[in-house]
Amino acid sequence: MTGWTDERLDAAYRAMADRPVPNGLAAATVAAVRGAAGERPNRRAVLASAFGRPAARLLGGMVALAVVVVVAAGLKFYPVTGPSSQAMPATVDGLPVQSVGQALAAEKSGAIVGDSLVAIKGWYNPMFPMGCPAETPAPALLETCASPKLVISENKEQLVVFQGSEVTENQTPSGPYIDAVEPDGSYVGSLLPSGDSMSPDTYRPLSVVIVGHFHDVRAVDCSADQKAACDSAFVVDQLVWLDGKAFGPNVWIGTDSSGQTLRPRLDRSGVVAALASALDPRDGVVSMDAVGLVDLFSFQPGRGVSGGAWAGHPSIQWYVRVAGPQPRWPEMAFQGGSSGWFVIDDESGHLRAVGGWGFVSATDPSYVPAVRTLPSGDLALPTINQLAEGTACAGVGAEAVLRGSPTDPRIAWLEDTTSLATSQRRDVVWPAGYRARFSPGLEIVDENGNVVLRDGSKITGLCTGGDVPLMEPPFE
Amino acid sequence: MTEAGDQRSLVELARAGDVAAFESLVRARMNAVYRLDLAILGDDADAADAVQETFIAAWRKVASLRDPDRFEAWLQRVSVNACRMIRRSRRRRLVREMSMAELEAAASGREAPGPADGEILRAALRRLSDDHRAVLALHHVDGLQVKEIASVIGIPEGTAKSRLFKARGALQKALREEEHR
Repeated sequence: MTGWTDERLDAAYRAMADRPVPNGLAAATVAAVRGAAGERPNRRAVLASAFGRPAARLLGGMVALAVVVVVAAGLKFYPVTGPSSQAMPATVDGLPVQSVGQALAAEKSGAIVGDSLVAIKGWYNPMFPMGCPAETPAPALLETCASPKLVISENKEQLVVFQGSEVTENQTPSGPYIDAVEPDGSYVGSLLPSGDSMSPDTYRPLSVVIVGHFHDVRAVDCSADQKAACDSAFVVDQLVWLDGKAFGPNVWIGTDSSGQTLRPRLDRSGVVAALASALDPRDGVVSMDAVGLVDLFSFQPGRGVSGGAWAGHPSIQWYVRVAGPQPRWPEMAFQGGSSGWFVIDDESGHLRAVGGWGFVSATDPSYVPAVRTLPSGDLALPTINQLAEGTACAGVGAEAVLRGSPTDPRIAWLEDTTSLATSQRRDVVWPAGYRARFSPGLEIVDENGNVVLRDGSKITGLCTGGDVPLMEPPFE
Repeated sequence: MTEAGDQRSLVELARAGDVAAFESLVRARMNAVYRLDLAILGDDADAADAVQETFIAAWRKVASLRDPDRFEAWLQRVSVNACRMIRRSRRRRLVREMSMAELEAAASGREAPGPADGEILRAALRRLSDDHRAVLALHHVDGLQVKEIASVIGIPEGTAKSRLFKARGALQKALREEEHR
């Protein structure tokens, strides 16, 4: 191989960049410009909060214009929780807004349970993206040189240092600060303004309120020496308020494997409506993300990525984060904190999973299911949460029968019937809405009230991928 | 009227708020902006987004453009800034894309043909800072010299010269590393 001469480099650049403009980009851009032509100064931000991506990725050609118009008009009807005034809120969906220092101290003292949401106020500082050396891939929760910087500081201070017209460095804040992690699928960073290296005043700090969480479940993926840093990383879930402007629930529409923006059936109000029966009146929707299964698993790893029970479902799911008490439906057999998440199937609007509410790991003492009798007299079954690993799915695996007890915290479990089993009992979790009754024998009832399993039912084809598999029909 | 004269007229109309004139500019400059953005960002979808951001930002700011004859350089500056914002808003993934040939070869155990220069360059550019990618794209794609790069980016000529020098060095190093992966 010859060296990289200028000629070879020029040719490589041509090979990389001399490509035809994608079909529809010109028309979509013209449509976007037309949309901007009559806009108010903040209209672009409103559109961004609806989709989080410019129209080019949404649609091609004139369709883009139609959708932009529809969305802009449709926003008037969307319910918006959270603060609506332009003054900095003192609470967000019931969460007290804390200073950066207060939040860090609370985390350090152990006062913050699991991944409960926390509202933090401080100063957002646009940072200059400095050059980075090639780095070894790091866990998602660990900041690296190349990670986007989302710095929230206690003190008001500009962190970018200019020398003439040149940025020379990014300073470390003088007081407490958070370098927040943006989870996959989050677009909080794109709602925040970037600095312009030609305009030093664009790096001025901006007053901000964000909602996020410590103790992200993905910390379990970190190595032993990284665990503490991963566990104390702050993951931002919502931009609530910025420099006098309040935001509602953040909405993000993901892309499929080919980069095309997903086209979910539900809109924001549809998602809220689908959740209505589950939410406590004190709950507030923080964010909602329409994602494909791959991205969903990046939100909630350890949910069984090999297909299994999820394989037959439409690919678009809504991942919704909620601040407030754990849901009224499905009543959960776990005690937890004050926030959690739902997964809603976009096509059917059905609740697929629910979890969170303070759990950190299987070793956390708060991870204890409890016998909870529902108003109907049925018992709540442990449902899927971020601790579930693997899925009970058709195919190869162990054979088992269903057993249960009304006094056991897990209510129902499997007994392995293969001679090779090292343990007879296998704990499982159940789809959201599943419950149990003893009349007098154990019956498992699905979310529609149908009895789907009974004591002694044979379960074949159990995949043995995790310690606490998710049970999903068909069971036999 | 010459092409330059046409463009000047369109810019003046756009400055006065004529959106149809600006649309003509969009169509005329679309290829060049997309090419520059693709060279900086290395990703088709991101480049498409940057193109939109570029023209929307340009529409908003065009009234402040003092010299219509400087429209192209001014648009390049807007485009570089749009790319910077796009990069800022994306979570960077340290993932090396593999071609289908590489994947198939990995599965079959045979040696895959080496990636084309364009792919090596794309991978190498991921290791560079935004500023370095921008000056290199302006130089290699738009053919700008140091003085013009300085004008587009808004930095002193000496700074542009040293930045281009450093960028070329960083790129050569990254290219060597990518070739030996």
